[in-house]
Amino acid sequence: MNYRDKNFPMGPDAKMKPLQPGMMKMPEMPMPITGTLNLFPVDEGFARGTIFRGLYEPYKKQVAMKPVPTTERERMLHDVNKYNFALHEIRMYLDNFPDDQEAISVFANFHRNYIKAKNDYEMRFGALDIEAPNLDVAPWNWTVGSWPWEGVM
Amino acid sequence: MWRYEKRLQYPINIKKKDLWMARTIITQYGGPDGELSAALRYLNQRYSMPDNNGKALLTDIGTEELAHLEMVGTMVFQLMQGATIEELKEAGMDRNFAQRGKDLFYQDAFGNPWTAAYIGAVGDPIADLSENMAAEQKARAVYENLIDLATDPAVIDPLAWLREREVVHFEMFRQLYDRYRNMNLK
Repeated sequence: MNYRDKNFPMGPDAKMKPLQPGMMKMPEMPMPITGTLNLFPVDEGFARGTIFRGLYEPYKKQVAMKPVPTTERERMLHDVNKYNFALHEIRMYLDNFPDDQEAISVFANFHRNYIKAKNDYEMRFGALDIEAPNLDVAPWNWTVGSWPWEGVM
Repeated sequence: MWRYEKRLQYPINIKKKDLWMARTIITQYGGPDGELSAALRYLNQRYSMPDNNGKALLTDIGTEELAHLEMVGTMVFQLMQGATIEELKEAGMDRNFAQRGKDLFYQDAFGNPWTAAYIGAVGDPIADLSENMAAEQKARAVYENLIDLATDPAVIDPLAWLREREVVHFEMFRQLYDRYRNMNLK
């Protein structure tokens, strides 16, 4: 599996390692730019279930439907979801490769986008967590709106 | 500590009731290879990881598994929404209804309750991470079985998404495992 390119299957500091029998197959992908994290665009990574191109291994019936937001609420929540997902993916990568300055920059960029998307959503549609900017008005914002399992995206 | 965010990690919007599918998906809620097992396994193994990177990875993946637990619970909940007594009987869920009403329960597809015996912890990072890699592969296989059983795209899509997460987690654990193997831990 790889984050960067076929010569660096274990991350930035790993030695070149040929494919062994029994290792998972390398999915088809366009040749990435060496030295650059090989990431899907944030929307696409969120739809596929990973932001790392090298880790995407779809199953036969997997369609990777792009969630299509139909309302303003869904669109804004989609932005929160996708940036938070991208952040989480880079965070796990950095747990294993904490010296990767490029990944840290990518993380910081996603983080700015996430904070903005979250605040924008919360101001219009209600608190997502206790740090929401609008928990100072009645009715108590935490109890406004539906709950995640109730099927409004 | 943990903080709840009032959103799913990935959206789920199932409109078609399907009690038979709910009966099978429940195993990823409270079965041996389900999300509850995964979350509690990783969050419990953190304490014996030999460095901060391992502690971070088990914390982060364990936390994500809690979000997956919510997704699986959401799928079961939506698949059962609006079910009548007659429909519950036809799907063989009369016993569930008698005991629990329409509540979810941490059980496998056969109705066996969740048990801590599903979780390994031997205080050895190599052994623990090997178990985690196997757990991710087993969960991937179960999600593929569920995808094979499913017909509704609104069910298949989140199942496929959760399956891909197992692929990613396996790889993250494998990288940590490979690094620890080269460290002479004992």
